[in-house]
Amino acid sequence: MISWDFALNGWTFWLSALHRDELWWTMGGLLLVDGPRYALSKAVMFLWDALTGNWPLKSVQDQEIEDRYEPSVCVVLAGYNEAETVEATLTSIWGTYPRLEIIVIDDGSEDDMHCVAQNFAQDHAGILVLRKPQRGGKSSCINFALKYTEAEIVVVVDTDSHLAPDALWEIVQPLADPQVGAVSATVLARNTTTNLITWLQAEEYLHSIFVGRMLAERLGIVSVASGAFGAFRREAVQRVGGWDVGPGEDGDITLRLRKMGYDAVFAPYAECFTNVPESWPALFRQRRRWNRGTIRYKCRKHVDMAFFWYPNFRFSNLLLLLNVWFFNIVCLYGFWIYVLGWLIAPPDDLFFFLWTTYVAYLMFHVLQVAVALAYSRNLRRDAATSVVLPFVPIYQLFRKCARLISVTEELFFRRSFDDNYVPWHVREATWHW
Amino acid sequence: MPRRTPAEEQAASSPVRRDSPSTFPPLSDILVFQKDEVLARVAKVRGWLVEVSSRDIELEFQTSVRFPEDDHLVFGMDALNGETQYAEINIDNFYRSSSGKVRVVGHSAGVVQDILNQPLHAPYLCPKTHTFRFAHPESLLRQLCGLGIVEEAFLDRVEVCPNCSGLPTFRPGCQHCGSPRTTLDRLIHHFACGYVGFVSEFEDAGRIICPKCRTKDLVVGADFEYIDGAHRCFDCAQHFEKPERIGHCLGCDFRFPAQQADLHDLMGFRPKRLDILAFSPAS
Ligand SMILES: [Zn+2]
Ligand SMILES: [Zn+2]
Ligand SMILES: [Zn+2]
Repeated sequence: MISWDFALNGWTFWLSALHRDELWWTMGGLLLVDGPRYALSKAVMFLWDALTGNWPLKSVQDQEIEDRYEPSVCVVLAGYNEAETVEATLTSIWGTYPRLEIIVIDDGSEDDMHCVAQNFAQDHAGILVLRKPQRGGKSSCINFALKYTEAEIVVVVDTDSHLAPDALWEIVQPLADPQVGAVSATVLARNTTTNLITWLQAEEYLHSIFVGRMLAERLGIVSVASGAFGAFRREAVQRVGGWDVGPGEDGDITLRLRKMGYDAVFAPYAECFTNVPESWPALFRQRRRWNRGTIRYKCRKHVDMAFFWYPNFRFSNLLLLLNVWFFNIVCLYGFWIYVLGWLIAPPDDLFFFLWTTYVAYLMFHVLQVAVALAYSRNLRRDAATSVVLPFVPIYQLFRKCARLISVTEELFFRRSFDDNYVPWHVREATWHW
Repeated sequence: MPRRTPAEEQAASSPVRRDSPSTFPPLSDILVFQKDEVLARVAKVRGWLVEVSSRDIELEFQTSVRFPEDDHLVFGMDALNGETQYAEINIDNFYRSSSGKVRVVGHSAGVVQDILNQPLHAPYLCPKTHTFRFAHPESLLRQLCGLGIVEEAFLDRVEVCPNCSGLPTFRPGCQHCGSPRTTLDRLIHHFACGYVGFVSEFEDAGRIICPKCRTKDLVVGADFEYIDGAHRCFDCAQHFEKPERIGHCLGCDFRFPAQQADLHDLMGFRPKRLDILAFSPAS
C-alpha cells in the first residue's frame, strides 16, 4: 500500500508540476486526435440526439407489422468449406421475414457444405442451393446468386454468422427511401467470452461498429455494409455490375453505389453475431486484410470520389475520403512518429508519461462506453462486454501496430493482391488497383 | 408299397366316423351359394362325399335342411397338410334317403368353381383406367377370402397416383409445376471483374465479351470458367437446383412429385381348390 501511495503521490505531484505546454507537446497530439475522434464526437452525437428528442432511437419493435416497410428479400449465403456452420446460420435466418428467399452458394467447397445446405433446403421452402465447380471468391458467389433472384433487396450474410430474430426487418427499413442503396448493420462478436482477445474485439465492435457507424451515418460517410451482414438494393447493385473482386468487396461495392449517387446508411439494431478471431496471429491477419482494403479502395480505386470536377461528385464522398486519409494515414504515422520520438529521446519521466496517456485514453474510453450503453437495447450484454475496459488502451496499441504494418505495405507494395482470400487464378486475372 | 390315390390316402389317414356311410373323409365346411351371390355357411351340419363320377358328385347330409335345386353348394374337405380345400357344385337333385339323411346330387360348376379352377388371381392393368383390376368382382374374391376359400398373396408393391390409384409414369421435371420442359443454365464467371452471367450475355458474334467490363476475346480457363447454374422451367419460368422425379398419372392425368405417390401393395388371391376328380374311381 505504501508503494502504491507513493507512486500515486509521485504521479499527482508530477502532473501538477508539469507545464501545460509540456503536457500538450508530449501527449496532446495523441489526445487531441483520438480523443475527439472516438469519444467526444460520440458524446456530442448523444447529446444532440437527447436534446432533439431523437433518443432513444426507434426500432422495428416500436412499429406495428403493417406499418413496416416489407420489400421482398433474398439472403445470399456464400461460403467455402462451411459445412459445420451453414445449418445454424440458415436456422437463424429462415422464417424470420415474410417475403424471404435464401440462396446458398457453395464456392467449390471440399467438405459437404453443399449437402448440409441441401438437406436443410429439403425441409424448408424457399431455399436454392447452388454449387460452383471451383473456388472463385466471395464476389463471384454473390454475383452468381444475383442471377437467380428477382427480390428487391439482396442481403449478404456470412455463412458463419447468425442473425438476430428481427435483424432482417431492421436492415430493410432504411431501404424504404429509394435513395438508399446499401445498409450497413451492427456486427457483434458471438464468441465474446472465449478469451481476452475475443472479448476485446467484442468491446471494440460495440464502439467501432454499433456507435461508430451511427456517427458515420449522421455525417453521411458510411463507407461499408459489412460482408458479414449487409443489405443492398438489387436494382442499384445491377446498375454497377455487381460485386468486384475482393478482398474488401463489401466496402468496394458500398463506395461504388455511393459514386452512383446512392446513399449508404446504417441500421443500428439490425444485429448479426459472428465469430471473431481467437488468436493474435489470426486477428492480425484479419486486420491486415481490412486495413489493406481501406488503402486499396479509398486511396486508389475510388480516389475519384474526391475529384470535385467530376459530374457525380458529392461532398459527403470527399468527406468520407478525407476522414480516412486524415485519421487512418496521417494520424497513424503521426502517432508512430511520436512514439519514435519517445524512443529516440525518452523523456526523463517516461513512465509517468505513459501512465498519464493510459489514464487519459481510459477516461475517453469510459465516455465511449457510456454512449454505447445509452444507445444499447441489451444493456446487460453490452455492459458485460465492456468489462474488459482496462485492457482497451493496450489493445488499441496492438491495432495501431497492425494498421502501421498493413497500411505501409499496401501503400507501397500493394500486398492485398497476395491475399489468398481470393483464389490465385482470380487474383492473377484481376486489375491490381 | 403300391401307390395310392390322394382320395385313398385321405381316407386311410382320416379317422373313420362311426356314423359315416362313406369311405371318404367327412366334409369340414359346408356353404350354400344362393342365387343372389351371397355365400352363407350352413352351421352344424355334418356331411359326407358319397360318390364322385366324371359327371356327378353326390353328397349326404345329416340334416333336414332343404337344398333347393339350382342353388350352388360349396364344400370343404381337410387335406393332408391340414388345409381345407374347396369345391363347388350346382345342385341338380335333392332327396331324402331311407336313413332320413339328405342326399344332394350335382355337378361341378359355378362362379366359385371358376375361381377355384385358376391357380392364382392376379390383378391386371385396366387399359382404360390404368388401375389394377381383377377378372372377377373384387368384392366376391374378398368375401371368399374372408371365408377362407381363397387366400391373399402378396405379389408386388407399386407406386400409384394419389388421386385415382392409377398407374403413373415418371420423368425428371420442374419442382414447381412438374413440367419436363426444363433446361440447365450455363453461366460464365469472368475472373477479372467477378461478373457472373449467362453464356448468352457474353456471346457476341462468335466472340466472348464480358458485358460488365467489356473485355474482349476471353479465353476459357485463363479468363473465365463455365458454371452450371440452376435448372429453369420453360413453362413456369421458375428455377431450381435439380429436376425432381415427377409422376404423371396415365389414368387421370394428375401430376405430382414422385414422393407423393401412394405405395400400393399388389395382392393376388390363391384358391384352395379341392381336386374332386381324385375321388372318382376312374382316376
Ligand atoms: Zn468482366
Ligand atoms: Zn415449372
Ligand atoms: Zn390418377
